[in-house]
Amino acid sequence: MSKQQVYFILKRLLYSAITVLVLVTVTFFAMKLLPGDPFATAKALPPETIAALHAKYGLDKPEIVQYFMYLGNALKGDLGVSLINGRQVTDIIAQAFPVSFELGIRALIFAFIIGILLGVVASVKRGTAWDTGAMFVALIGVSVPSFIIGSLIQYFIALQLGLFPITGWSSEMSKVLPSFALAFACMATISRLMRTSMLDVLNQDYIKTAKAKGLSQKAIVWKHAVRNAIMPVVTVMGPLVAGVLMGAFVVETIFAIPGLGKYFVQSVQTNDYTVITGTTIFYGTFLVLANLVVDIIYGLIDPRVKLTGGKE
Amino acid sequence: MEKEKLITLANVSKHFNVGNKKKLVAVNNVTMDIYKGETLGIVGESGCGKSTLGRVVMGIYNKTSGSLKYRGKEVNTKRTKDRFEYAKKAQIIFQDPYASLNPRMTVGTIIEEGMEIHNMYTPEERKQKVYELLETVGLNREHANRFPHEFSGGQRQRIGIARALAIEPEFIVCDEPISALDVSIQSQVINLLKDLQDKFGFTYMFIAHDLNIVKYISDRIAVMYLGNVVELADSDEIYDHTLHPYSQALLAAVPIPDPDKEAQKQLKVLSGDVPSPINPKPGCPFANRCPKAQDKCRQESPELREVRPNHYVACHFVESEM
Repeated sequence: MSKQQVYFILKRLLYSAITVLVLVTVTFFAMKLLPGDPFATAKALPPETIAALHAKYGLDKPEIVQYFMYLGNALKGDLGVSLINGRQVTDIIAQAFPVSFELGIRALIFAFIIGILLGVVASVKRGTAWDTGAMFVALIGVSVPSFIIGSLIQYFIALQLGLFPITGWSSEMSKVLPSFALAFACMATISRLMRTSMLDVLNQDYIKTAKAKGLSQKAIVWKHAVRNAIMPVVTVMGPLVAGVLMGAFVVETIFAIPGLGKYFVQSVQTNDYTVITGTTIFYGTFLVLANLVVDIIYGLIDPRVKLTGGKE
Repeated sequence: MEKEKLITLANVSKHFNVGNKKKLVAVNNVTMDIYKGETLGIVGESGCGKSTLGRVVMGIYNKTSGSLKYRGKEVNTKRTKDRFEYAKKAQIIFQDPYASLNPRMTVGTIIEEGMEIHNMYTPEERKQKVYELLETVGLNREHANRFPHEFSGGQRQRIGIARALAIEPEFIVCDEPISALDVSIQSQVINLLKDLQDKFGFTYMFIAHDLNIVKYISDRIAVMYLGNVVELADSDEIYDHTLHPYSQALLAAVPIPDPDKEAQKQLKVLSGDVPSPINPKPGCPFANRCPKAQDKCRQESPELREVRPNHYVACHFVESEM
């Protein structure tokens, strides 16, 4: 790597850190604006108990002081303790995130491979039944939300046909349906994008050049066209990762998967400040990093994008 | 002296389907020979099918009907094997050097790929060959590791030429190789093409709309109108004895680089527009604009026939011009 590339990456890292700081600040204060109280349970507690609990968790101090305490602790890797069950937030994340991550990765790999394949087939066999079929599937994927896809495949494939377990996250078989449900929308986006991009590339003169050299159709498509057409897909991979992670909240709930999404939804329902803030920061940081990685990969795939940060 | 026929076209047509059972006739019944070592210029206005003809001859487009022979042997470009073998003999240089080079490949890879798929040389020899080719077209060997976007238009066209030469073809279609270049660079590329022809004995099919350059480089010239070859003759002959009414109008439109002569010139301006190539009417394609058109022209399509030695014209009433 050249000096310029290192400089570019350092600069992007700094920007990422600033983004995360803004995220922490906004999340922290937005949390304080929420009505309700984590200790407002169905059975009313005496005011002294609530005051004692507030004092214990530092909620009686001015908010700006709380903010800096939180920031200081977060820098040390301490995201606080759940106000509901007393577990360390970092523990919850460490335990639940690998499950969410695995689900996300499986979904992304699935979406990427099938999406690219569908897009390539549709573009090469443009105007035929292949094209129409692939784009019909893609249209369904783009327009139907994951919880409907999830429920439908649970009903038809798991319940009616009995091919896969209905819920859970233990055996390989049980992981197939949730990954598919999560991947579907993403796959549809990728295939549509890939088709458009391929149609554009296949009309380029350098494809005719490749044909003139005597290359077979297969070599032209995979060696010359796909590599050029894949750039827009790589560009949207960052936002798609975000989409997959957000979709995971719903899919994890439908398929009863013990992932981070489940804890996130629970913490919002119970006003568990530290868990909401902690998981939000964690997701946010993850997304910022995902986008950073995409930018760097972009530079590696496309020689014209110099990692200099000069023209952005 | 009987010249050796390299490429023989007989009644070659190319139609494109444009929906609703409409057919766009891009190339219509073209019959001609291309002799070894010659430069055949193809001229005509935009949309007359010159480039399509070049691509059909190259095998990039499959012809709709007719016969394409290479050294007397039929080439079926629909068959992958035929096309692969034919690609070794016939290459093409494209008009737009910005678009015709894959932006993700280094110049070295672009040039080498053709040799690679045709199993020419060992990998080390190929590297060496790439350097030689770059030097042949006036670039440096250091350029092999760069990407196309790092070059100027003229340099890219040189890369395009090196790319075509790599497979060591006999026949090269030059599809308006200079019209995307600056005037100052055009002559350099033209001279390079001429030098290469002297050195390696290439046969060129040179497609252009700049008539001065075509006259300069070509041994014979074919004039195309609406997918048809309307006149075909030696370069000097066609300029001195222009016989087809369309060719006359086309050549009269060439500016003369002398203001006095240019002012005296009587311009034959054609009336009307080029008719649509979609589902063309029967008869001579030029009939609706031809000053001499008669009923016969609107009913019967004229054949290309030899009216003077080696001078072919497709016109019913060409004798009145002679």
